[in-house]
Amino acid sequence: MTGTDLDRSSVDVVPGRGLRVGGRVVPLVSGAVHYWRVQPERWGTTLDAVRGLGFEMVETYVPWAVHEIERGVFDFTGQRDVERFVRVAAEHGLQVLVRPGPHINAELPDFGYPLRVLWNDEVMARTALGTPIIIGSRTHFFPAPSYASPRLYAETATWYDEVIPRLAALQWPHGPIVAMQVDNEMGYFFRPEPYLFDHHPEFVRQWRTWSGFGERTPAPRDASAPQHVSESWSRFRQWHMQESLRRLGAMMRERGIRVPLFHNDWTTIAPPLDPAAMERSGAVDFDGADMYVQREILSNAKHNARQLAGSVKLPWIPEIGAGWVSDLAMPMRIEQLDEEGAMLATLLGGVRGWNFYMLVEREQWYGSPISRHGEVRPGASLHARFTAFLRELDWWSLRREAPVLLLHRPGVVHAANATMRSNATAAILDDVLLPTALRHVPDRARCDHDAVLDAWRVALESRGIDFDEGSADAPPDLSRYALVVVPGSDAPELSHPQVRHATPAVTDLDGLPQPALQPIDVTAGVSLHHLRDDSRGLQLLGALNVNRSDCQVTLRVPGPTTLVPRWNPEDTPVQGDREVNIIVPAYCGQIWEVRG
Amino acid sequence: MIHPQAEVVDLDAPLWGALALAVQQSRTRREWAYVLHCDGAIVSTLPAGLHSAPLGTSLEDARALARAVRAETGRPRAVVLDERGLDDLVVTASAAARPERTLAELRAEVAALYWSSPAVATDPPEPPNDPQLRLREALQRSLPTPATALLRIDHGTEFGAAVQLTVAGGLITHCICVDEPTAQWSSKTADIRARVQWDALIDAVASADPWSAFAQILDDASEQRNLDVVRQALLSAAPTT
Repeated sequence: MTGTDLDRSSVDVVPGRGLRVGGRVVPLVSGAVHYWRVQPERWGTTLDAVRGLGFEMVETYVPWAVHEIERGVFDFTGQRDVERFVRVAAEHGLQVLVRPGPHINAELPDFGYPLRVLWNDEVMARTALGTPIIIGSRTHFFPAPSYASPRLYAETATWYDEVIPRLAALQWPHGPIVAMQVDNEMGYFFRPEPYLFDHHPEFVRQWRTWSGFGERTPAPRDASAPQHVSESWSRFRQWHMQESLRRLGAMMRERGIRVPLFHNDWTTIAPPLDPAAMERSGAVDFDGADMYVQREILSNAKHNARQLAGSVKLPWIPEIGAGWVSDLAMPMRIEQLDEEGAMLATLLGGVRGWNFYMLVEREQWYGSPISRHGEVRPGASLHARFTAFLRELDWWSLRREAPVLLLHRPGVVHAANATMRSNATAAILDDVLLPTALRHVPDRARCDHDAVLDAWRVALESRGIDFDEGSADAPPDLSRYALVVVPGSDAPELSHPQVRHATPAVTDLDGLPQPALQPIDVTAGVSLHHLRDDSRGLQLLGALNVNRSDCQVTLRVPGPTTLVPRWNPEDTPVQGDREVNIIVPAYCGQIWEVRG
Repeated sequence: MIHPQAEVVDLDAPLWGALALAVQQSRTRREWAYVLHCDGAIVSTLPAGLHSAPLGTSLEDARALARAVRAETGRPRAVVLDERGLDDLVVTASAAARPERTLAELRAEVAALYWSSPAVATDPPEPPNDPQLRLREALQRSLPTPATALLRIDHGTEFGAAVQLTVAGGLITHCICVDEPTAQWSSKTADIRARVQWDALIDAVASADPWSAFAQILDDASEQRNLDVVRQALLSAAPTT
């Protein structure tokens, strides 16, 4: 094959931009549509509605438990005909991301696993007491599976034998599938506490081999366990997640998948979760982090975005909320303001791709832009506006000015994890009967670590200086930054001329590259973001306000300047010769083009 | 209250979001105080810093501490937990997790084991009852099966949202939000119907006793049909703390 043939037949990850498909770079902007929850006769009209909102890509889970109707018998017909759905998507000009699990969640009562697999003694994860770890799901529950269980992989192989070749036949260039997710939100089922998961005999055996600690038990109830043994357990749990994904990804490759493999973490840099370390391990080709926020915690969206920007090659959100699950036991209000704020926060924080979950509504979900009947709701105008905005500005060509990198030290968290109380109780007692907060022991080193990072965040935002966040275990290219912060005088050495370990001094901030538009006075919780594409002479200013009331910011400008609103273009432009005043709406933001 | 295979579709996003926030507020108003100890040595408390002096190892010592903590915090309930004793509770409770059971059934049995465990002392000494289980039992006794219900929620005189439910055996099997014309049509044949005000509904759900509060707004509802049954069920379901 010639080089040109290779380009056209392969899909590659383009850092900061998207996927190269057939020689063309395609941004990762997609929406979730669950084919098995929509009547097949409505697939066409539903996908028309998706295209109408400006999307060129859709995403779907492929649920094992839906397709395996009895042991060893699989149904891919009718509403389960995923291959037909993928072809229909192609006919509508859509590329497809697929997520065949084995774990998918999808608000299914069994999270996508067949119940016979979950209730198999050989598969169950175990507490230190040997009991199963119960996961509640709306009206049902199941014992969590252990990703050390050989039986789990054997069972998954039977599923992959059926589904992966079908999907492989539809991957680029023979079909529209351009990437595949390995498993889903791997992180011990939202219970990352160090001593809950996993005392499955095989998991413990693997830890003993990995650590070299022989027959030692990892639980803190072992009074003889020194700190470094418990820290080893914490690190092993993180390593095991990566190896589990690597193993599952290899199983996909063995069955014909050539497109990039990705994963979706679900939280920030807090071991056992660390997107940078995950990507660095090579377990998947690219990693992202899911995000569901409402306006009151909009700052989380901004923090998470900055962490992705400093951690992974293609910062993206495999699930960004478009609506929410209907279970009132997991309450969250998701309205247009909440979603607009999240979109802007992630955009300005450095994210370059989003998959809206759920773009098309289905049972157990509310608030999606497209109903389960394929009708476009009034709120969908936000999503249409977003996709148009990104294309109009060619967002992916913009360079975000973030001269500072804040590095988290996962080792501090591993050390703090070592002192947490044992958590067998969390396997069966819910948070009302035994709150998680009751088992945390405050760790001084971790508090100090977090305090340094918080101080830098506040100080930098007060100067209108943007920043990325990353992991000291897998730092990005440090040459991109003017200054790197890694908390603690005992932090590992870094190859960079400007490293700081403590809270910022005025001279630290004065020595940084200053933005062209500097705030004279900015309210805490308002952040400024600067992007540019010098080849087009395009300069943008973004402002995000996580407070509950509108905020005014006065900016010093280098000369006559006009700020032309681009996100909400109906707003009035602002002008000034030396200063301009901008209003940043509550729980939201604005993006202006800077002219002058 | 929810059938394991309940179909929940087409929910009105503003209504459901408002209800979600209200549920959060209600929980905040009913938060308990906790003390976790290990052989009498205090491990941690919620709120933090409640108590630090060691306590005796008898169950009566723990109950006395629970009374003191409840009086000090003013919370509806205080719970004192013996960390070592919880291991036995975990093993027993885990045995209740069998595949044929629903989550509601499991939670009820685990809660019963919890409150009767010697590792758990509480004030008030009577454990709380699960209001959803009592509501289910009351509805099961009182309603035909299946029964249909139509709840219309207005903003003043303007239509806000409408929720159509099917209830069988005391469990909701179908929940769908419908538009105004469908609501008007459904209300003619619904076994149970009520028309309430949006703000009053949300305030009721957000209160410390949403069951009684909701019963009250049903009392005030316009276009009522067969609400006595539901009101009585809600009042009987009102939880002890």
